[in-house]
Amino acid sequence: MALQENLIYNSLTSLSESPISSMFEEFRKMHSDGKSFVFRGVLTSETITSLLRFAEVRLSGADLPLKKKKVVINVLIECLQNVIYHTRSHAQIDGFNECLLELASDNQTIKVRIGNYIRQAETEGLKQKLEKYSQLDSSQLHQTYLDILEKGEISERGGAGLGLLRMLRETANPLNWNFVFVNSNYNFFALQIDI
Amino acid sequence: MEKLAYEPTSTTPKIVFDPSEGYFEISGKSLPENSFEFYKPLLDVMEAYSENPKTNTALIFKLEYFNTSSTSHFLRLIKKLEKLHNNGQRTEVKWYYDSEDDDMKEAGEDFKLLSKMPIEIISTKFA
Repeated sequence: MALQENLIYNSLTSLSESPISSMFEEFRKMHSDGKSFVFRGVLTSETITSLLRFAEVRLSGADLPLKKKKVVINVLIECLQNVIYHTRSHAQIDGFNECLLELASDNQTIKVRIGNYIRQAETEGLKQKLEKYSQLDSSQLHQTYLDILEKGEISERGGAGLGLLRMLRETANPLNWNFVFVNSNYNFFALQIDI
Repeated sequence: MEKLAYEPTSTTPKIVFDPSEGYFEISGKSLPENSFEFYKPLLDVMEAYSENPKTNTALIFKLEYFNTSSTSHFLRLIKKLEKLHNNGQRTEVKWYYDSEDDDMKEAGEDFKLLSKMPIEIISTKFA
């Protein structure tokens, strides 16, 4: 059976659908993949608060510099709030308003992976932004950030257009992303940030 | 002008906006889902205050976390005080950061670059 990314945090529904005998295999696979938590569900302010708190607790026990732990939390803040902004209006049927969040570690690298559905009409704009920002060096990223901040435009969804730039500046690692066609309305957007 | 005082929540900061004292403080975590809705009343108070300010004005930031949509509102608050500063009135903006939080220090320095008024960046130890 293929590994399912289940809501380990507080849902047992999907576990009840898979043979109990596969649970150990899934547990060992998550351990070998370095996954420390996985969340699948709809994001709300309350959920984000809980996830951030949970991440803080997980990170507090990790042997990592405080600066790195702070970056992880900042990246999670931007990822999760971006998902809320962009999935709020998605259809609730078939889980189009859900997201998948994973936190994993590989030696001293923390990997934040987030996936959510994105409307077809918004995909190209996001792709262009990712490609454009990924080619900037640190001082260009900084200047772009300052330019957008100074313009002070807030989108109708409440975002300032600075989240991706913040992630790139703070992690100083390239972002990895992928789009998967789902249907005529949606693609699935997956983003990995290595810290 | 009315005073605004909000207790902190898990996603919004503590707010003490006291126009009668010329004292304005934002502290804690700023992660509001809709930053526009949260910060609009504060910007309105600051706008009204800037038309009739006290002799001394202080805008204080003491933040642990913030989302980027909050930063644009921080800059707007700072810019509303620029008029007072340009008119020679005593106006101070203080950006406190935890001594181990380089990101917060850099955020304060970004505001220094974008603002025409002096902003004091102060290292401290948050509880």
